[in-house]
Amino acid sequence: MGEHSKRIFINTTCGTVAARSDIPMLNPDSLSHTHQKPDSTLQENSEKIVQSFCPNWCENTCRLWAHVKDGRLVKIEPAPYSRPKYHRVCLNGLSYLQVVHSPDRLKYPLKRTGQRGEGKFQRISWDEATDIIAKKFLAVREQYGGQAIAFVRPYGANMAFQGLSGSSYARLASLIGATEPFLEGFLSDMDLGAILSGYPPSMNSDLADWENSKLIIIWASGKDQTYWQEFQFIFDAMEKGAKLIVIDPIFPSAACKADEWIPVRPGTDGALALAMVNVMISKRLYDEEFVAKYTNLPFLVRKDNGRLLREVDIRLTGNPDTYTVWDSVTNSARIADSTDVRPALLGNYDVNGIQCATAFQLLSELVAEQYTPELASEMTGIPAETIRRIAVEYATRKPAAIAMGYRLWPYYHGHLTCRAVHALVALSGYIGVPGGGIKGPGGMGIAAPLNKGPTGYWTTPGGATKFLDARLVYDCVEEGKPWPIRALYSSANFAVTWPNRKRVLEKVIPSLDLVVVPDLFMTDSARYADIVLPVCTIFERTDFASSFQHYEFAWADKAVEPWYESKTDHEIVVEIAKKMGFGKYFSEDPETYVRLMLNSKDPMLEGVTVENMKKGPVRLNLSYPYVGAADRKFPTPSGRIEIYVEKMIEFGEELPLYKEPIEGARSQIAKKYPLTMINKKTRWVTHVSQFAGPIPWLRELDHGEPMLDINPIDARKRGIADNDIVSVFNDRGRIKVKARLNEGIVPGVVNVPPGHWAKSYIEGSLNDLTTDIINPVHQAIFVSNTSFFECAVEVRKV
Amino acid sequence: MAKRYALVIDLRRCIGCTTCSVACKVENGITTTESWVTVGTVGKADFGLPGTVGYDTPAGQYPNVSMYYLPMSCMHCSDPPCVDACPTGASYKREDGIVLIDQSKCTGCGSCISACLYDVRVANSEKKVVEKCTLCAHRIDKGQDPFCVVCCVTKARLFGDINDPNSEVTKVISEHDGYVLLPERGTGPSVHYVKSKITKGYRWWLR
Repeated sequence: MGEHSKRIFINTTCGTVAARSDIPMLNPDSLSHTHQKPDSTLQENSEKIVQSFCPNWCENTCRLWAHVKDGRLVKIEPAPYSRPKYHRVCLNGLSYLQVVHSPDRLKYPLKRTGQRGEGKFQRISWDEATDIIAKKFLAVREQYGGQAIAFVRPYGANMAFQGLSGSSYARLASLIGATEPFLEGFLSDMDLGAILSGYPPSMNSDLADWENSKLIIIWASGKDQTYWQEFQFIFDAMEKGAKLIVIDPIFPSAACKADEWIPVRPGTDGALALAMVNVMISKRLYDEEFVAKYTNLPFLVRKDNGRLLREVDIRLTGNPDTYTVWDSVTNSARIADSTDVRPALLGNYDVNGIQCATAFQLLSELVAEQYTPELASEMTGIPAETIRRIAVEYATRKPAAIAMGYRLWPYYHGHLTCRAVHALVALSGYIGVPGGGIKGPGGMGIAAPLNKGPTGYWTTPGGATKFLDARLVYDCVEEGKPWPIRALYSSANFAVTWPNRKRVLEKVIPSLDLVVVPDLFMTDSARYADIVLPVCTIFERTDFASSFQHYEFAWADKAVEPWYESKTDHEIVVEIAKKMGFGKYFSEDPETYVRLMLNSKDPMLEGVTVENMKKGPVRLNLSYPYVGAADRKFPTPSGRIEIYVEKMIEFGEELPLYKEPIEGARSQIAKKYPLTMINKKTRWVTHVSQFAGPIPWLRELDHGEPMLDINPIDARKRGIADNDIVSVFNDRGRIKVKARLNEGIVPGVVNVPPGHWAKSYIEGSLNDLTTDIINPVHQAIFVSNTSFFECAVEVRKV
Repeated sequence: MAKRYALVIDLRRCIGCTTCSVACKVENGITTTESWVTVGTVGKADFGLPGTVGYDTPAGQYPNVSMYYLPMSCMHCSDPPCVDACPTGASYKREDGIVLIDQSKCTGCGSCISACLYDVRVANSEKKVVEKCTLCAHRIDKGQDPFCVVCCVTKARLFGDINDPNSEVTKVISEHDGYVLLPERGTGPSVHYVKSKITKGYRWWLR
């Protein structure tokens, strides 16, 4: 459809109308839903309908009906979960129709004949392929130990990192004693602040709980590009009167639905959150009871060493692990969790000669001094009065929910941003209540109860998997530190997704003794493999999966025969395991193995059986809508939400702070490279490891190439117009793409979407520009998040 | 009274994901790049298609910007110019308001493409015929909703009979000031829209 012809009616379609959120809109519940298979067409034309689920893993795991005719998948349609609103699908799930029988799919096992990366291969048999892999694995294990083999579990593309496929890999890895790099951090998928505060995404509420919110803040989140399933619930909340605020350096789809878009300079969100904390404290808008009972802010802090005052500090026989507060009734230091204590939130106290202050006092002083709305305004570019207003709105529109997104934390100091937001939420008290909390990616972690069963990692005989900060794979391969890695089994598309691509392709991959890539297509990474294995899609295997967003299990029956010689991940694992002498730990029959996995004593798994899943969706044994953290018990040393973190004293980060992005607009490097590059995902892939490229429907939609978003102010300075080819470069590398002038991006910021294969670029690939720097603080917390957005660049018209 | 089938698209709920476009291809077996349903961004461009400089790109000047998404497909007009323009009688309107093309009579001459005010008819270069949204007449005849309605992620699409005063579509149109495109041209589209929400504090784009 031509663009010109639309002009004629645009005039008539947009005018000023008031938003009418008081009136109920469409009622999705009124749509017809059924647990029965769709009755359409099937008997009449010999179609068979098989249950399956979407393997894209946006964490919603939509159930699907797969229509099969003459052995081919002919249609995909959404299948119901136990509640109608979860009966859904999106273009990424639907387009699997073009994946399963794609002529571009890998058909046979391949062995490299040319140089790594050259793309020259010859067809071999499965027997030869698994022989090569098993022999090499055994030799590497003999010489360097099992940990010299790294399994990067297939993430995203085929959802083979959980369910049966994922567990099979996990079990083989544990039998070998192999390394499993922790990919979530590497791909910067992790809210590190949650680990310290003790309010992790596993305490997320059901999606339906959005509807109880009076204010929703979507904060640097790609929900509108990935988790759009959630917008049904967000819109329902808005119909009930909820306000929507979007904070983001780039105007996302969500922002055009919002009451307000607040553009923010990339990586400065922590300053905004701390200024909001400032406003809430100075206006006394925080939830005093929640702060006193469920956070560690009333705890006494020793001024001499910054450590929390323990019972043993005030009484020699006291418990060295028991924290103290200042009791405002008895005017004395007492054990924090005493039933009759009334902790003072603010104040400085002399406790038997030890000078102390409450953690809340220290936080108040910090934000009063360093994070006034005026100071934060300079850092963030947001007007001070806007900061004041949204802080008051957040505190008073009870309850309010914050959706934290990936674009908050891929910075060197991203963990501090997360901690600042957690402090803000803790002060609000919207935790463990309907409509509140943080709704981040990650969810329930349904895998946890499964792992307690007999196929979990730590109950597997023969050794334990060694988990590794994934970024350290580079060092392990190049220098043997902290231990040597010689073989890599990976389908997470390292050539597209790993930072500092030049190092990956020129140093890391060439140094390995064996590279195995199981995948669906000849990806950029498969081209670098010694052995390429064709794997089955979800429609060619039996498997099950969970959702992190609504806590139900879905089952997939095998719908069609495997494409050419492709095999399921489970079959591949079993073959390699047999040749390595681990055959007795596996069952070839997938169902037997799933039964073993489910044989867990965890009460949440009650009723989750193969038989029940085959009949339809099965919900974890949880209330609906599930409200996370309702018991207000938090996985921290104190059992409370910890805003003051003792273990961060050595870094001077015991309280949440704001630190400037190391390649931000105020950094030294900005003099040479004045633009900050961020990466907002497109709709056409769920994970950047996936593939829009080989799917015609999706390739058509994204025109097969990434574009650079640049503010017209910056474009004019450089003489750049729409569709001009530009070079984006820094000291690490250079890419060439087309430019798109966008008034919806903060001046000084440019955006290039992640996930395209190298062939989609005019030159280079996105991660030619990104840094692989590690912040040791991340490692002290857990593992490092990659600083993808610490990426100062310059852009020039070619 | 005879039925008159219609779509209501609530633009407040449309986030431009294009699932409707792909769902249409799944249901109708379209493997080529032709689309019976397209979604454009009304913003910097009048109708910015995915993959172009206009998609996801707002109008206005930073930071006072806005945009909305507009899904387009056959309007199933009550007085369809395409039917009048068709020289072979291939284009016709059913009693229930659905406009269809009898493929056996279509010669692919393209007269209807020029006649359509909404630019929603597409030439199938392989089959040498013109095609377009059928409102999933084959599904409707079996009592099912159009597939784009079933698949809409945010439930922005609603299907029903606008001649029935008690139907949900009729109610939504009257309660939310539903509108049609180019009403002054008298085509009488069956596809109705509910206006997009406006981001407060920022100037709405008026051309």
